[in-house]
Amino acid sequence: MRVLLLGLAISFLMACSGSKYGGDTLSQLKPEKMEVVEPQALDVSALDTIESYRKLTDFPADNPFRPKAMHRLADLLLDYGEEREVKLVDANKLEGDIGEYAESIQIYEDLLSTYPNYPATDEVLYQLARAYDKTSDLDRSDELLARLVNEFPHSQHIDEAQFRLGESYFLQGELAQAQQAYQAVLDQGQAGPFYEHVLLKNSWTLYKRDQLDTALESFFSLLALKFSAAKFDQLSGEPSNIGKADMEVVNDALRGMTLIFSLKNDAGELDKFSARYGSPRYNHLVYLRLAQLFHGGERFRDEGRIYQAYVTANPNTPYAAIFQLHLVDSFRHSRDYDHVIQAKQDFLNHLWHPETDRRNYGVKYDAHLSMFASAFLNDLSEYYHSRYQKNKHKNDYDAAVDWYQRYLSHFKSASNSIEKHFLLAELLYERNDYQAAGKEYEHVAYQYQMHGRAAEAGYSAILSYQKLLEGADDKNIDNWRRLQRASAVKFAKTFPEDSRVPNTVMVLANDDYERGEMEAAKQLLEALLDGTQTLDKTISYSAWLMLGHITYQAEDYLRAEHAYQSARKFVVAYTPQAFEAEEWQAASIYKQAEAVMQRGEIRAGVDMLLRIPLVAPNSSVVAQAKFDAAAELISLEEWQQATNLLEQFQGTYPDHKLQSEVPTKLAFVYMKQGRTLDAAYAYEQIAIHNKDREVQQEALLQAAQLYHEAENYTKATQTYKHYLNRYPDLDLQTFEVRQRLADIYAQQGQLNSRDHWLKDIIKQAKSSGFKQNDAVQYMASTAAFTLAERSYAEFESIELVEPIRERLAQKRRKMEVALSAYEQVGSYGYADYVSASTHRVGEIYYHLSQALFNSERPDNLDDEEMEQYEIMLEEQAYPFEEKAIDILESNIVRIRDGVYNNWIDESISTLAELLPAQYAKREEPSEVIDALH
Amino acid sequence: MRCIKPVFAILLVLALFGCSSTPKNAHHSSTALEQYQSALRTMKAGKTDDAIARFVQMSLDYPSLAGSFANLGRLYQKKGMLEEAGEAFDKAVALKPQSVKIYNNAGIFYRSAGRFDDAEAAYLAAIEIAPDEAEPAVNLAILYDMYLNRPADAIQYYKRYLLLSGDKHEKVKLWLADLQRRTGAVANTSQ
Repeated sequence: MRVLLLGLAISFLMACSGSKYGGDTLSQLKPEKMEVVEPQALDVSALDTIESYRKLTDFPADNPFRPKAMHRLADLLLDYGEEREVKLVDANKLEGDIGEYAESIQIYEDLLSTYPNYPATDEVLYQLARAYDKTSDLDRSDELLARLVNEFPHSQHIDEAQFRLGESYFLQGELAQAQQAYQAVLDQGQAGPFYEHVLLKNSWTLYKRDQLDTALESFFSLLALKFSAAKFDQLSGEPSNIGKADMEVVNDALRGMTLIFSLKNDAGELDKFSARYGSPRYNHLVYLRLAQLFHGGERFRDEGRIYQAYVTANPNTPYAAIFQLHLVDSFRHSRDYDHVIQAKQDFLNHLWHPETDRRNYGVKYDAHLSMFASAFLNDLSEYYHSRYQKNKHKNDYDAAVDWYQRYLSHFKSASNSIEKHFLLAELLYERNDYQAAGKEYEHVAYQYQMHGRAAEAGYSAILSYQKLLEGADDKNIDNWRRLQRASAVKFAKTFPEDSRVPNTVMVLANDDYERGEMEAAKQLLEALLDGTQTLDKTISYSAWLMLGHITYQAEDYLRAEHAYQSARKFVVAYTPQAFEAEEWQAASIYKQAEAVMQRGEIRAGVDMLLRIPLVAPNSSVVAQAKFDAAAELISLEEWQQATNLLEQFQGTYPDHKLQSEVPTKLAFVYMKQGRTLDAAYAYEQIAIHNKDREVQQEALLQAAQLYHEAENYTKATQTYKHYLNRYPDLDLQTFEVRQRLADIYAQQGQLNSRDHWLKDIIKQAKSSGFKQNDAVQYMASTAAFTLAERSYAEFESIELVEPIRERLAQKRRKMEVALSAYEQVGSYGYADYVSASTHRVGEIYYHLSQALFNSERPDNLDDEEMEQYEIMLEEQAYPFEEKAIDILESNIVRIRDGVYNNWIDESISTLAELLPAQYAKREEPSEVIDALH
Repeated sequence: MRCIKPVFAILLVLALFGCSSTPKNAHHSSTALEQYQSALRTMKAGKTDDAIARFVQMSLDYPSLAGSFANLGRLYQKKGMLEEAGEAFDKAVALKPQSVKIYNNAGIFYRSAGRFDDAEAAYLAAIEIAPDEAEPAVNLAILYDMYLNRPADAIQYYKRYLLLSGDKHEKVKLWLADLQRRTGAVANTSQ
């Protein structure tokens, strides 16, 4: 009750500021003790005034001014006394009574008794009560106040009088009277300076009188008054714009209310009460104070019930969430851990609305709640995870997953979110939910800044997908596999230094490769081979080789080449692995060349082909590449380079299957370069090595002809003869070859050899198959004529000199031979050779006649004998000349048959010698044509 | 550079200087005449190949002038290039020149090539143009005499020749006499 009075003192002082009733509370006044105050320290003018009035009181009693002067003097003394008392108290020098109080009492009492009808008696009564109060004569003071109340109900001091009376009754335990006095003040309305204080005192009085419901109403109306414009802190629930003094009043009222509710010990009562007043804005404070009261008394269950009640009844206030937090604490204090869990869940499920909270109650409130939400989510996820690990119940699993996910969805940037995420993934994996586990592991591995568990999570993701794959049906398997490959690629790229990367990637890539999923395998390998990995040589080799195979199959030969080349760097030279990569590299280049050439860029293709021997000299393609390059160079008419390559090929790869094609090409390029002999040799090689018999035959002939053309007659004849031996069957060609042989020997002057072949032609032409062959017969005719010509020359060469008889016989024999030969020529029936033979026969006779005329004359004849001899010679020769003329003229007659050639002309010339008048006729040409015309 | 596909083998030689000008149709332009005379000088000087080249050029520049072809024919004939000679004479004759010499030489060439009918036609054409010219007559007579076995015609043209040449040629008189003797027409020879 002491506290209450102290609080009241403040309002009292304030209330009295305009009256003369200043100073401390009545109860605090110390026993008055007169003290000498130094005159100079006091208000001289006040004392002067007092003295002035004191003189006025000496007026006779009937003087109309005297009562007023007395009234004034007493007031001045009372004021002065109060002033002096304050100063003394302040200086801590108050000892004994203040003399002015006693004097003022005396004057007031005198005034009352002397002037009972004094108009301002109520004022006097009021002042006198005060003065007695100052001097601690409380009874007399109450007496005077009661008189004031009774006699002057409309006095301006009636409120204070009633109030002071109420206080006095209250102190004395006269509660009914106190309540009556208080009620009188309250009846005056809220405007009075004592209203609030009296309301509080009245509430407490009702409480003390056990009128609890009425007391509650009274407290409540006080709160309604105090909180009419109050604002509340959403976190603490406490008012934020109420001064300290008012706050004391409020707290006192709240204490009263909570005491009442605690007595009722039923949260429902509070709810009922609250509901009756429409759940006023400050409602929560009552719950809060009540809960705090129980808390102070370690009545945690009761505390919890209060919070629970508020939350249940007012779930949409900002305090609901805060109280739920208190509720969690209550359960914890009461060691009711099941309810702790439940309360946390309730908080998260029903009371925590991050978005709405922030919007409605601001960042601070939201942060506070979020802090707890984070902690609760953490707790709950761990709780259920741990429960699941113990009992394997699906409910606990589902709950744990749910809490983890909620935690991560709300606090993804929290410091332990990675850990949470990882645990969630582990939980999912444990429960065989591999798809979700893989997703979460990936999240842990790749969605956060680099951290200690990232690589492990990345690897676990791949394992999760592996588990999925192991149990997958046909419908899903492709999808799982795609996810796993993508995960592995990410893993390799993100954790290049992780020791699990190479094997993982290689196993998966190999699997893809074997299933023909080249693009997938390629992506894996490229992730492994992007240069950030430190790989051992075996892995590097295998990876590059596989990448090579993949790009090769995809016809990306440029990349394939690079891959194979790279693979070669990781194996020791001259090992099977090195050879394999080299082989493939060569094939890649070869394919590039093919493609380039298909586009028409032949030169570029050739350069590529020729790169193969340089970069992959041990590959089997080298020979083919060189050969192809040569072939393409031929198409480019790069004869020299093509020749070099072909010659090199011939020397380097004697057993190569393409070797048989080389001579043909070589022969061609030699021909193009005018290297006839080399070409001839090449054709000889074709004739030996080519598998096609027809090609062989043609080549051999070609070889012979080229030797012939190159004037290598030895080789030419050898080759022609070889041809005839090898292809003995007669055909036009073999006749031609015989003719060539004859021609060569003729040119060489080897007439016997020539004649051998001419005779052979004639002989073979008689074969049944060629008797009707005009070309062959004509050839035979020519051969016969050539042979005849030789006989003619032999005949002609024999001079008729001594021994003339023998010589003549010899010449006659040669003549017979020649005539027979020409006859044979004529038998073929070709007009020109008939003309020629006829002419020659004519010539033979003419020559013989001339030879006889010109023969050596014997030197032993005398003139007469010589004359006789000459006559005899003429007789001998003349018939031959006649015969010559006949024969030659028979040649000319053919002109009439339309035959005319040089031989006929020759016959005319010969006849011109024999019969000049008839045959020595030559046209007269016009020489130069001078005119233009 | 405008090139014409060579007609004659030798034409290749001319590629060096032969393709710059366009064909000219003016028959007796001073340029053509100078060019022709220059070629003739070369021909007379015995420079056969050079002369052939010049006449080929002429034949290209002035394809309507028969003289060039005729001389070419003769030059080719001398060189034994009979095919080319034949083509040249054919072209010359085809232009129907008013030249006894051209027909006469063409006739001789045709005869040597065994083209007796062409030879006869050429000689007759020459005689028609210039009935007073002696050579075509004797050449035609030889053709009839030795190659076509038409002694009567031969006799007629031998006589014509002797008439035109003033009966000075003893050799031809002997030929005539011999022929008349062989054909039994001796009685007429004295005329």
